[in-house]
Amino acid sequence: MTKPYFKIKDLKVNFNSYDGKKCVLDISDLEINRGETYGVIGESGSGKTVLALCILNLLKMPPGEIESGEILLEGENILNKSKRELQKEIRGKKISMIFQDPMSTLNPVMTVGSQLECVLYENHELEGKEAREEALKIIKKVKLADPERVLKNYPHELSGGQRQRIIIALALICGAQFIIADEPTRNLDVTIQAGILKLIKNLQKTMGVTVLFISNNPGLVSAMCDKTAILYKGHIVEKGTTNEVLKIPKHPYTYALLNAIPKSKDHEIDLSEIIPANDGITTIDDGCIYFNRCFNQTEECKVKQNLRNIGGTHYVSCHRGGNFND
Amino acid sequence: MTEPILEITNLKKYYPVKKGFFSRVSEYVKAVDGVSLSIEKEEILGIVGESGCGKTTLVNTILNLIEPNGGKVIFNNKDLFSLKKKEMREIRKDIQIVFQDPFWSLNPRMLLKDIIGEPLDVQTNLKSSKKLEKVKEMLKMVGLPEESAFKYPHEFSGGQRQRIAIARALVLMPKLVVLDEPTSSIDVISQAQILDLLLNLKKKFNLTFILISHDLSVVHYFSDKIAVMYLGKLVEYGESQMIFNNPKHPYTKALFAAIPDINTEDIQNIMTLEGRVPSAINPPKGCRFHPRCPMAQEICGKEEPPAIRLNDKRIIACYFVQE
Repeated sequence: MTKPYFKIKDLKVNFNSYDGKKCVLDISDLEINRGETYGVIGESGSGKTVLALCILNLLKMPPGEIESGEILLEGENILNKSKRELQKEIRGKKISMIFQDPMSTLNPVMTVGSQLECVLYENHELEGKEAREEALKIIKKVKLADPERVLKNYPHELSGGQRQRIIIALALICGAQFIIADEPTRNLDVTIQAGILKLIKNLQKTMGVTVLFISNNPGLVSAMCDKTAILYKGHIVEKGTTNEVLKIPKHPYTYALLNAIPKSKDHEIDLSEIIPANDGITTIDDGCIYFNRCFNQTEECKVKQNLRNIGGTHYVSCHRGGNFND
Repeated sequence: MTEPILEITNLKKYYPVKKGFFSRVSEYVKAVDGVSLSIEKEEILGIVGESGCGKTTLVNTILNLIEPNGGKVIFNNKDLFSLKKKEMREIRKDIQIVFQDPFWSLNPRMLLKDIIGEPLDVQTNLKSSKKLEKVKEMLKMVGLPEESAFKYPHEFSGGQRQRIAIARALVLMPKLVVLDEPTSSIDVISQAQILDLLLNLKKKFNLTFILISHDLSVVHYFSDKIAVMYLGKLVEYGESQMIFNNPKHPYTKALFAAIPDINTEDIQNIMTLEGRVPSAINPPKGCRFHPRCPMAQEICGKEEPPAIRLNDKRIIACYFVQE
């Protein structure tokens, strides 16, 4: 096996609040190979965005605090880098992010062109004609019609789908090879969503970038990703190839999540059995983190559940390992 | 079940576009352009379409929050637009709405007992002790603890806030409830719980729902009938099950094909529509969908296709639809 391109090892992130420390992220092992699309699925509050912010080292500290762990990109620990190194070498050039809300991530008082040129100047000190040409090139790559005009437009003159394409362009313009897409199609219409997802997939193929795809929609992850991890209260409860995780879910939470998607009239969602109410963030003691919401609690669940291999690349943190109906 | 509770005929709403120094009105945005629908008692109607197709304008006119430029809305045998203010206020008791974003639709400075109790203040003259009792009853019904009556909205999560909004909409025991994207800002599990709650409440109080959503899976799960809108026009309308199993209008087909689900293995297999929604100020001549339509022919650009009724009772506006 070759060395993984990107790896998270024993990452622990806490938030300090009035009620004391709360663990929001506890990931023991996550590996992404070059060129892969890795999906992370979780509810709101499960730590998806904190994960993304940690990778870019953008997490606000305090209240956040990285207790321990390593985030390795090509063998180098990002968490040990100084602020200057991060800004000059990592962000934009190696890792960049597609944010979730296209309405509020662009600067409303700058034209699209000057925003793109700004990034180029910061990272490569390109100016004037050269920068303009680079900007034009990337705009063509994200398949926006009439690129010259788009560069002169202000964000408010563009539609949601067009803005999201600009954000993708901003993420790719300095040649980043690792892209974090944090719910890139939230708030977009279904017809536009499909177009954006196709664009990301195509760019990935042609430019060979690696994508960490964060979403709360299993359908999108299934269509986009090679591998998938399910995040629950900051812990990965199940991971493996997308087919393994979403077609034959082995953790009761994954099962519940997939069951909660409405399908058709004939398909009844039986909520009473599957999803008891969320109790918010609880302090995790010794037992299984899913204990409170699980529909089938047993004595064994009172022990901490670690991810264990159940064949192939499929890992699950449930002692039943899929036989949750008995 | 056969009696319509709400009948909309040829409803139109044009927004004027002002231009120039004297703000002369030169053009109109045709947000809703000749929509006819009817909803039977205890039925759920889903309205689907891309953003900007006039879904929200349509329900706002139904609620008489904005005045239409033409057409009729008949609710319970009364024409809503010919009523006096006082009579309209009476009727508002029977039509309520749950808004899209529970973070904006609840006043952050009011306690839940005041938020849920406010409709009672406006419409009835209950004593405050009785009112509180009613509020607590509603809270229990939507699955929140009674003590929440003395809390503020910020103390609740998105899903819980939507429950509060539902409690407020139902406190007057309305007949018709409009749900404007009730689950668009919450995640799948809370969404499933909210949908389940709404279905239970519907059974309990014999409610009629109008559901607006761009999430087709929600609409499929929830509605009895669906109406697909495109640029202010109705393109397909009929039994939900039928339309989902066999969409006939090319726009409906494209809309359904665009959603990836768990069985989608590769995003490249998903069909996408070319181009984007044209401006509603100068909608394309003829069929409004023809510039993006894969089946378009010459006639589509010339004349608007009439709405025809097929054998299976669905109404469709397209030249090339076979029985």
